[in-house]
Amino acid sequence: MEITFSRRLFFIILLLLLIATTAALLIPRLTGKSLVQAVGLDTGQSAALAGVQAFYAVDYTTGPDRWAARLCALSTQMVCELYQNTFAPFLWTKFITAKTIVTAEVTNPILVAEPAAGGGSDAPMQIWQVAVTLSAPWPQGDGQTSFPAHVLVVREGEQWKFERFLLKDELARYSGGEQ
Amino acid sequence: MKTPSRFLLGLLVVCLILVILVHPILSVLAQDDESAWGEFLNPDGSINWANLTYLGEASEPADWMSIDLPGGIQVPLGDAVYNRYLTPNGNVLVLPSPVTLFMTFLNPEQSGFAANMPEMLGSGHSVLAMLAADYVDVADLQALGYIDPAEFFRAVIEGRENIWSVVSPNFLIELTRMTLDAGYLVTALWLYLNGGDCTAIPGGCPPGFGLPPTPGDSGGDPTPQPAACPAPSISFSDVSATGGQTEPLKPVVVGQDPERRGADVEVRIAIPPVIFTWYEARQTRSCEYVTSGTGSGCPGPGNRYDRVIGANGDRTSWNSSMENNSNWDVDTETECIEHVEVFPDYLDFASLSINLSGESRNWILTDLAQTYPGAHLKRPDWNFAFQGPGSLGGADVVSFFQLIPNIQFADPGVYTLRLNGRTTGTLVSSPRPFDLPLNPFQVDLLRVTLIEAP
Repeated sequence: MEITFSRRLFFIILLLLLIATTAALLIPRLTGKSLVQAVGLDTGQSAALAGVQAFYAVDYTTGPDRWAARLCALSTQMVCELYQNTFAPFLWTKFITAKTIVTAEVTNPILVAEPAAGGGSDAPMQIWQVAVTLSAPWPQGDGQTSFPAHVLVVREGEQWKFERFLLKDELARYSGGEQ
Repeated sequence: MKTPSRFLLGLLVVCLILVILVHPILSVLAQDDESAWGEFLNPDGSINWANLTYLGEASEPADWMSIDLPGGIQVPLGDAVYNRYLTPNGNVLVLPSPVTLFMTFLNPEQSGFAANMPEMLGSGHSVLAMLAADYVDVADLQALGYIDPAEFFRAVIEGRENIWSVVSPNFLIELTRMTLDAGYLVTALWLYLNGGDCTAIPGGCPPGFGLPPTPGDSGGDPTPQPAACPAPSISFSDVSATGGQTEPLKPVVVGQDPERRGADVEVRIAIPPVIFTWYEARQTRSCEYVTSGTGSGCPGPGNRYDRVIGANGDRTSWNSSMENNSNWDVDTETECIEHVEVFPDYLDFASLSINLSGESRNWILTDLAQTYPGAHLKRPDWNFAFQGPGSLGGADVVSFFQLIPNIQFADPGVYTLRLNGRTTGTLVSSPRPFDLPLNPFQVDLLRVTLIEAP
C-alpha cells in the first residue's frame, strides 16, 4: 500500500503542529493560571523551587493580586489565603513605594527532612534547603541578595504544594541534610 | 512507632485537659457564686451567652505576631484579634483568636500580656498544650528529657524551651486555619476584672462604649447608672435541608441492575446566620441652669460635659462659678444605639439515615416472601456521616452539599430519609442541633408476569 502526500499538504501539517506546540507552551505562561501544570509539580523538589521563586520574584507594576495568584497556583488553599490576605497587603505597600522589581534564582535543592504531619494528618511533607539569589534586595529585608532558605512542601493528592518557609527556631531541629 | 506514640500523646493530653481539667473548672466556677466566672457560666460549665454583652471584635497591628523569613524579612501572621464581652458586673471577658492566643503565650512581654495578666481558666501552659499537643511527638519530648508533656509546655511558657524545636511543621498553618475558620476556643478565656479601664483590655473598648466605672473612681461625681437599654438578643432562622434521591429516575434493586448503577442521593443544607443585636449605652452629660435653685452645681473640669445649657436655653461654656452653685445641675441622659452583627454558623457534622419504611419491610417479609420463598431483608438501613464546615454564601448563609453516588439498594420499597447534625455555634451562640426529614423515594423491583398469548 502506498500513501501519497503532496508537498503542500506536508507543509500545512508541519505548520499546524508548530502552532499547536507553541500555543501549548505559551498559553499557560501568558495566563499564569496553569502554572502548576506548566512546571509539573510532581516532586517536592520542584514545588520547593517554584514556590520560592514565585515568592521572591516581585514586579511592582503587576500588583499584589498577580503575585499572590502565582503563589496560590503552587500552594494549598489555606496557605493561599494567608499570602492573599495577610502577606500581600503588608508587603506590597512597600514594594509599590520602593518601585521594587526583583528577579529571583533558586538553585541547589537539598532534601533536609521528611517530617511526619501532626494533628491527625498523614499528608507527606518534605523540608528542602535551597539557595536564593535575588537581582536586588527586597526593601523590607536586611540588604542580602544571596541567602539559603528552608521550605516546607506538602503533598496534596498527586501533586506537591509549596507550603511555607521554616522559622529560624525550627531550623535547629533539622540540622544536616542529604543531597 | 511514631504514629502510635503521636496518637497516644494527642489522646492523652487532649483528654486530660478537656475532660479532667477544663470542664470541671468550668463547672466548679459556675457553681461558685463568689467567682467572677459564676455570673456567665451555666451549672454544667457551658457559657451563658445571654448574660454577656458583646463588645465586638477588635483587631490591632501587632509586631510581636511577626515571623522572620529568609533574607531578613519580617511579615505578620495577621493582626491580633480579640472578641470582647461585658459581664453583668462590669468585668470584661476576652476571647483571643487561636493565632493571637498562641503568639501571646510565646511573647508574653512584648504582647503586654505579662504586664496586665487576666484571670484564666486553667493555666497558660494548659491552653498551649490544648493548641499544640496534637502536633508534638512524645518521642521528641522524651529526647529532651520530658516524661510529662505538661512540664514541657510549662517550660515553653517560662521561656526555658522552644516550642518550635518539637512541634510539627504543619502546626503553624493549622493554627492559622483555625483562626480563619473562626474556630475560637471558648475554653481559652481571659477575664479582666473591673474592666472599667479600657486601656487595660486587649483591643480597648468600642468607641463611645460606657463601661461601668471602677469603684472609687467616681471623682465625687454622681455615678451614672448603667443605661436601661434593651438586653442583647440573638435571633436566627432554622437550619433547612433539601435533597433526596436524584438519579436514575426509577432506581431498581441492585440484583436487577446489571451495570450496578445504584441510586444517587444528594443533600443540601442551608444554615442561616446568627443575628446578634446589642445596644450601646451612650451617655450624654450636660451641665444645665435650673431656675428653681435646687441644683447641686456642676463640678469641674468642664471637659467632662458634652454640653452646657445656660439660663436662656442656649449653649454656653463651663466656668468655675458653676461649681457648688445651686443654679446649676448635672443631667445625664442615656441614648441606646442599636448594633446588629451577623455571625455565620458553620456545619460541624451531619448524618443522613436512609431507612426502608415499615410498610415496605412488612411487604417483603409477607407478600413478596409468598411469591418468592426466601425473600428477606438484605440491607434496609443506611447511614452516611459528613463533616463541615460548608461554604459561606450570600447573606452569610452557610451551605453544604454532598452527593452520595451509586448506593446499592438491595431491598425494594419506599425509603425515608432523615438528616440530623449540629452546627459549630458562633462567638455569641451555642451549636444548633437539627433533625430534618427529606423527601422519601422508591426503589423498584421488576417482576416478570407471563401473559398467555391470545
